[in-house]
Amino acid sequence: MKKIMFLLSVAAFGLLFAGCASVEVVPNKNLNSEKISLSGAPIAHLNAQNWGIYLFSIPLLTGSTDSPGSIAVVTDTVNAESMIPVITAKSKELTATQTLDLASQYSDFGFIFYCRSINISGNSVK
Amino acid sequence: MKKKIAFMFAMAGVALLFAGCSSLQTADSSKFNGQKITASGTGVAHISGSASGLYLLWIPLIVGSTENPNSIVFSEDSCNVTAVTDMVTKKSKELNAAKTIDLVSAKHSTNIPFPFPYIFYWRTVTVSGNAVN
Repeated sequence: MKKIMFLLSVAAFGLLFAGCASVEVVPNKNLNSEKISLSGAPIAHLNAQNWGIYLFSIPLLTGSTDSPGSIAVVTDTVNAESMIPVITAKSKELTATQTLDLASQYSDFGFIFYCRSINISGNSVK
Repeated sequence: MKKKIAFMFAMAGVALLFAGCSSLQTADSSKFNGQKITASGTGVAHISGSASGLYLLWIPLIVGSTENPNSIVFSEDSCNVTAVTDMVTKKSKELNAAKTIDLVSAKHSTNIPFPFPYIFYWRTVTVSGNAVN
């Protein structure tokens, strides 16, 4: 019984970190003065990620796309439709006029309860 | 007590088997079968870099080094898109390419369910790009 309680509390602690959206910006200085497009000035390489826990297709805990870093409840945000605005908004914030080479990977695994994740990358260019 | 220590060592051994790895692969123009890899300019190489490592929550334990591919570092967070992109663009520059186009990155994190779920994570980052002149 004690062991089950301990495992449950560890899992609950882990769930504190569940469902999170983030955008990582690779600034120009980490591009080793390489251009990242055929024309235009490089601004940054962007990588956006989101994941969440689903009961079949019902979203339980997901990363919020409105405020990256926080958790959304019963909101389906782990999809390209929700994440493309996140990465393009970041690109715009960095004063880029183009977000090139957008690429996405989507995966899910589990049984009854599923963990879904999406990864999108793009290149900000002016 | 002895059994417990042996178990801990065995666990650490298993962790080390999977722990920290990084690689940098390059396919030069001789592998392109005469195909262009860019709409304009000359294709130099396709470069693929990756780093993976073992994390305790967000704390890096054993991670692949992006400074020295194929080696490991301890407690250094090099398993991120910034470090791997740096490694890829550095290689591109080394090959005398002026541009690294079509940069694509992917980041994955998997929870290792033992000894306790949601505590240990295996993180992988992959970045690829085309070195062009």
